[in-house]
Amino acid sequence: MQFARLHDTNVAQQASPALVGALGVITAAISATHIFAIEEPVFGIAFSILTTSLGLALVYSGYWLHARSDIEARHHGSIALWTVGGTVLILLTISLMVLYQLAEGASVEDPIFFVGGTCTVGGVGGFLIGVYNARRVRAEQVVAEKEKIELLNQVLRHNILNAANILNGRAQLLRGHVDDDSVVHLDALLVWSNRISELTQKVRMLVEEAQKGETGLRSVDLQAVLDGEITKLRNTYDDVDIVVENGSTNTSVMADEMLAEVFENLLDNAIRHNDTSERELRVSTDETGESVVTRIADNGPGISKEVRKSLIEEASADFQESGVGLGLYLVSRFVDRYGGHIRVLDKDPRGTIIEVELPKA
Amino acid sequence: MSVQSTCYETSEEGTGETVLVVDDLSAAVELMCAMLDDRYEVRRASNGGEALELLDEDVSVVLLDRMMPGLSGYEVVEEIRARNYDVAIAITSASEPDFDVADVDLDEYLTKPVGMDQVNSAVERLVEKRELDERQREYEAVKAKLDALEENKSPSMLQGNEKYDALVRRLQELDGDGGAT
Repeated sequence: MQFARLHDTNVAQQASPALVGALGVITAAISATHIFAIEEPVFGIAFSILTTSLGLALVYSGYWLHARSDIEARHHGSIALWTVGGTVLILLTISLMVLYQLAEGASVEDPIFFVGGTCTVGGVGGFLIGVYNARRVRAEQVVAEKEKIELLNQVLRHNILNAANILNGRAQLLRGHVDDDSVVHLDALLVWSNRISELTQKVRMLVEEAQKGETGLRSVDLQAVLDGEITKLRNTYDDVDIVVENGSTNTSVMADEMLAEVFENLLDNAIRHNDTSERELRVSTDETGESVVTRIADNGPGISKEVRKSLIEEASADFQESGVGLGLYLVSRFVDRYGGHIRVLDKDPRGTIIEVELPKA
Repeated sequence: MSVQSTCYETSEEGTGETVLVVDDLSAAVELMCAMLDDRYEVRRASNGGEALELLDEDVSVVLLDRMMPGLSGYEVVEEIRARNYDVAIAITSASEPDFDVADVDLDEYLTKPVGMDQVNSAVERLVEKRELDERQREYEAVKAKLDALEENKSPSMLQGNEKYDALVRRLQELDGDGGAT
């Protein structure tokens, strides 16, 4: 039963463009009969050309619906219905008018040509209304789905943050009650429960970025952001040699409050994946005519091809497939949003240089 | 599976102050309690109705979850204020505040994750807020709301928002008259 119904809808969906096209063929054929009638007044020929064109437009509409449009098949039935409805409405109106004329004794020249031709107007009009209507319905569905997903997202974030907070809090309570051999386990609990919170908040930022689009950019002092992040790094990693060079006087770029998050991820990444015993980090900013370039150079093991690709390529790169962490995905998305570019270079003899170029404010 | 309570309602070396913790998630109540019970007497409620029952003159601070079945955190704040108890109230939530926080008569908004140190210093601050005069206390509350909003909303969202602007103006009024320190 279920299968049969599915099958039926499928047939109806596939038949819909054909129906629209067939309607076009019939009306165009009727209309075309008078194109070359040289003895007729010019109005007849003009009418014929116009309605033939509309009929052919309807034929193309059927083809377009079947092969080229981005409208899902489930909307095709209603578009065909609108097309047929428009045609029938005009057919009835014009037929009644013609019948009235004939009943009054007036003569109507070739009523089938006249009625058939006029029907093309109804067909094309109906088709356009159908397409417009399908688009409107789809747009409404997209909005509703987006709202549903955002609500789910919110509930999920809320619950995860609550759970992570409890884990982390409980681990904090154990501090000082765990013997020296076991304290590594406690530290891991603390670090990883924090990471859950951080990741959840990053997802929130990404969701908000997706909703904001292009709006909300303003002038942000890049150097101030970098200084803040480097101070944080120096507090966290006291064994890393961090050198800062500032070769520019004006470091205002077009960005938003997430710029700090971008550099936190890049800098943290450069240090965390560095496996040498003497870790170095060199951060410099330089001005070009239109932009400010930040270079982050480390002496780590280098960046894999996959990570490199996902950083440079456009932000739609699937971070799950590329195996890149959420942090770098966030970097690429936001640098894109700011209209900037990322370059990844190899450093001699060892390490990576990441260049972030951001347009000046 | 129930979590065995690790929370002691009376403490011997405490400050003598009583904190009421309200959350529908019992694990969250237990955690707050465990974090605070060295220094405070802690009462626990799992919903707004229970919280209002447990509230009396001895309670000096209420830590209140925002999203609870039945009475919401904001509704509980309203009810507590209507009953004229002299308590400081903080909302603790895993959800960031929205602009409607401007209309709620709370002293602080704490967004989770909130660690041990944060909870203790927050309660300490809240206890002290009860000593402030009315103007100073409102100044602190408005400032706390602004901080919470600014932390969670982008400048473009804040810009031109009526409730945000009203808070900014109120802060200036309170500041301008020299009422705040």
